Amino acid sequence: MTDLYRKEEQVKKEQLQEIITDLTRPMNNTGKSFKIWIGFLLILICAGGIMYFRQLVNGLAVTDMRDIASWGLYISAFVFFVAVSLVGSLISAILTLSGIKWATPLTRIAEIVAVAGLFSALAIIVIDMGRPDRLLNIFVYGRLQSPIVWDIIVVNTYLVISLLLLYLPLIPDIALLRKNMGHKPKWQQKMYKILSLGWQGTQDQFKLLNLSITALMILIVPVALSIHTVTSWLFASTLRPGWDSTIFGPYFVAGAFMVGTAAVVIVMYFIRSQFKFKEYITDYHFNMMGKLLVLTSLLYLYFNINEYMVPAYKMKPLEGEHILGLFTGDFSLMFWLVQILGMILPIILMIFKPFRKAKPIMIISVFIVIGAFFKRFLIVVPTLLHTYLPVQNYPESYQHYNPTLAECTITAGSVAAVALVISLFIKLFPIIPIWETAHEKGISNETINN
Amino acid sequence: MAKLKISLSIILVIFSLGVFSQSAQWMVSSDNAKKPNPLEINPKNMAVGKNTFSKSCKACHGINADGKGRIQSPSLISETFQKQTDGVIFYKITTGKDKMPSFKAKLKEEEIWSVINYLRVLVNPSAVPPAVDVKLELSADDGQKSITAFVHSLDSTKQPIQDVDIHFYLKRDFGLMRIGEPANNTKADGKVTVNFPENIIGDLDGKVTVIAKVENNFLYNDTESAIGRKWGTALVSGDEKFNHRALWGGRDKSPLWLLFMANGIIFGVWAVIIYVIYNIFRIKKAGKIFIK
Amino acid sequence: MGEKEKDKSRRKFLLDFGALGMGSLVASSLLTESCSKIGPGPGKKVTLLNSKNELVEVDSLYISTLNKNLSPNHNSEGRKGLPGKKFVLVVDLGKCKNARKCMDKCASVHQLRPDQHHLNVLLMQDSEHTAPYYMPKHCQHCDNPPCVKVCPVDATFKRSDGIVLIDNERCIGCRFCIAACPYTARSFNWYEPKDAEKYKDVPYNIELNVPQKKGTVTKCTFSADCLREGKLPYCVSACPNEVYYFGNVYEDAVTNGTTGETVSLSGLLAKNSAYRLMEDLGTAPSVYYLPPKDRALIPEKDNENNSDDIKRKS
Repeated sequence: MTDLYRKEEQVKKEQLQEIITDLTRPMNNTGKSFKIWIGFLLILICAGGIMYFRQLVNGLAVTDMRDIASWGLYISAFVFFVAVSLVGSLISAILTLSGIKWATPLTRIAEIVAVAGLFSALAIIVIDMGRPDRLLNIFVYGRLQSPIVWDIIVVNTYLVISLLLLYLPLIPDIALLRKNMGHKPKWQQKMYKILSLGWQGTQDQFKLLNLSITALMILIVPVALSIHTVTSWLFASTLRPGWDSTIFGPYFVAGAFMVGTAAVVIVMYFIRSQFKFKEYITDYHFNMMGKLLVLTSLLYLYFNINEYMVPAYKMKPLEGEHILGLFTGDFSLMFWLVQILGMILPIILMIFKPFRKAKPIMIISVFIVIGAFFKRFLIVVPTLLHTYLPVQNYPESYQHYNPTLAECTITAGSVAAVALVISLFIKLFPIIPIWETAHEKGISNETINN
Repeated sequence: MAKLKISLSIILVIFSLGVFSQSAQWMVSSDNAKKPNPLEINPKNMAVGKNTFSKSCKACHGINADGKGRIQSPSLISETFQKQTDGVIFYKITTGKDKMPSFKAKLKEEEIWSVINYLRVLVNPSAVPPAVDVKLELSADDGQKSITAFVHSLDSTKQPIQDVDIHFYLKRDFGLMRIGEPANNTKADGKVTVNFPENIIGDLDGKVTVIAKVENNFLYNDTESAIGRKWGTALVSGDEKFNHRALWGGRDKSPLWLLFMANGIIFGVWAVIIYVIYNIFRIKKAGKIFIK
Repeated sequence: MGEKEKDKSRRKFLLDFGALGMGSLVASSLLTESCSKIGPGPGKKVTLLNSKNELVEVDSLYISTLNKNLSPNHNSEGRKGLPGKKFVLVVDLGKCKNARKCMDKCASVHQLRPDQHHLNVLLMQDSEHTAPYYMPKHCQHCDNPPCVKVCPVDATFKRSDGIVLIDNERCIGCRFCIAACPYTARSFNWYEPKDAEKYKDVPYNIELNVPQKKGTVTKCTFSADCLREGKLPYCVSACPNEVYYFGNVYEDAVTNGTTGETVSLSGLLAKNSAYRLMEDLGTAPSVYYLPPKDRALIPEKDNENNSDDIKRKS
């Protein structure tokens, strides 16, 4: 009896070791392609940094924003990043709280996408400021009536919660890393030691940990909804045609779930193909994410119809002008590409199972993410160009907005920063939860901790 | 062929002359040019002329009619201008051209003729007798709410002066508001009375300042006198309204509902976050106990 | 120069100086006070901006007291508004001939670049069969200002006298106010402001909103600096065509900037069926428009280079 038990224990131990070896593989094997990838991202970020320095010296004049289109690519990118970051709450909180088991290996991917997105969102909003040197004024003179202040409060709150929700489930894994990463540089070992909090896997510790994680998962749902709702209020709280809409909050949230899910699918795909994680991120996961993506896309489609149908039916002069600008005017090409390639076609394709396999759904997700970026642009810019009063006595160029090289480079740099944060995280921490994976394979806590 | 050329060039010359004269000169028919000025130059007409000038001409042609107004305009005291007949000037004022508006609808004919006389006098001051100084005194009747102006000679005899047009004004923040009749001529006793209008807003105490002026008068030099009375409605300042809490108010004036809502949410959310951070320390502590 | 004469010339300088520009910061009572407080001996030469917007070199002796009164309390005083006043602008559209003297004056006193407008004269046409007209458009100094609502740092604010101002030393350049304003009344300093080098050392005046600062928003101030001195705004007194009336709502009187004629505000508005721009938005502007009737000049659509520019008002 004891022999059998011991044998079983031995099997489990080997199984665990296998899981640890597998899941720490991204941290141990740094291939050439990964180095090129990091180099590429660093070049993009540096180029953005140089352009930003130019912008600091010459002022926002290096952009094509002017008195009419006073917001442009930066604000579009800000909305985009906030949207992407919403997925953290969807997968790690909403799905987990609903008892959906298949999402477990994806929670950490979703959380790091959220955190990386938030970092870039905060960076790009500072980049958009005319006086970044006066950033502290927001704290010194902050005015509670302004949606910007609400946005700053909720985005930072969401960032803290997301970081905690990323970190807490990591603690048992870090404890494992502390034992298994003896070959890593000193600083890295020290970091694991500090971050593992002396985790011993006692019942008390698990109880506290689970309690905290549950509390955060419940908390993050309303906070996540509010970050994007408040972001939508930056527009909806004004009197401008095209923004003056009551459904902007849910419209933005639905869009955010769609783009966030698509972003996670892309990250999932590359992690799986790069580190040969076929066993952990299976076709089943892609299939389920595909279904989730169809669901969120359909929701977004519904809000799109609502948002465009109602003003298009009434054709109030300015709303009508704005709508026609999108349907048949200056922005029509971008608008229809975004609507068809970034939403309608993906929905139709993803309804069929073959398109929910890893590669096709990744390609579809790329279209959705790119479409979502331009969709934010279509929300921000056309409204600003459709003023109540005629645009006269300004240079002709004020009637249009075409982002300059500086703006595009800086924005590209901020997108690269998202990818860099995710990539570096993968190098430092297990992107698939080790402890939870082992737990699901029936390996007991005692085995893991010994 | 040569004939055709000549005739063509003649046509061209005539045509270009026509165009030229149209844009650069006023075409005044001789009938219009010969129109005589029906008004004689006398102090009363002069006053009308001066008033009309300040109302309708001064802005562009300048206070001295030298063309240095708010826009560059022809001088009205130049020799070129003055050598035109009254009829020509009258025609030009009534029709207008380019920046010069037509005053046909805006001014009465007498006013236009008076202005022309006024312009003539500007370059020839001796056309009217020199003006004399007078004294203007104001008195108020609180019962009737009326103001009486008394114009008399400067000497101790206080000889009343008849037929002086007094302009009454109410002092406002940025100028003087005309009250009384269009013309308030002094009677034989040198006095003229105007009633204080209804619904006038004064300062915070209802105090108003009435100013009477002898001005633009060619017999008498300008003089004025002021009197203060508490006859107006007290000014109701809305300053208080701006101290209310409002969405557009300052940072210390945010609406209470917003204050409570925002702080309530922030407090609630951060209480949970702080609780979780506290738990992290508890986890650490729990690990240490285990080692012992 | 005798002592008395010297004093007189100082006084004259100070009065000139205080007429419009820097000196407009102080009320006239301060001016007289400053005259009596001039210290002994000549000081350093200082460069300053005078009423004509020119730089002048002045002996520091003559400005020491003034300077003390200017900074920095002046700008906090500038946030309060003049007591017992609420300013109103009435624009008679029938009179406007697009002379643009107001625009020129405004751009020069506020040190604006040619593509920046605190005040913009627009060619409007309400609908296909109505006649075009010129419409000078200022900041509307709304009583429910959408721009002030959204400012995150209290940089733009509404004073008790109705004026909406912006503090260039606090603005963080988020441009939310520009996006929120339905009247397109605000402008941003995308570039280094005009003559930035020249005005580098000139202290900031919140009521005149100069010197302009790169990366901040700028807007019409209703010439709050003039109003403090009891003068009409720059644009109002620059108009050659009797377009503008300006005054205090509380005393129900407005004064025409061209003729100086003062009339009852309520009477003027009633007689001419005045309206405000975009009344339905609920912004409650402080600028009233008198409909463009009996016009001396009706603009022709074809005269404009870009007839597409003509757009209806809302």
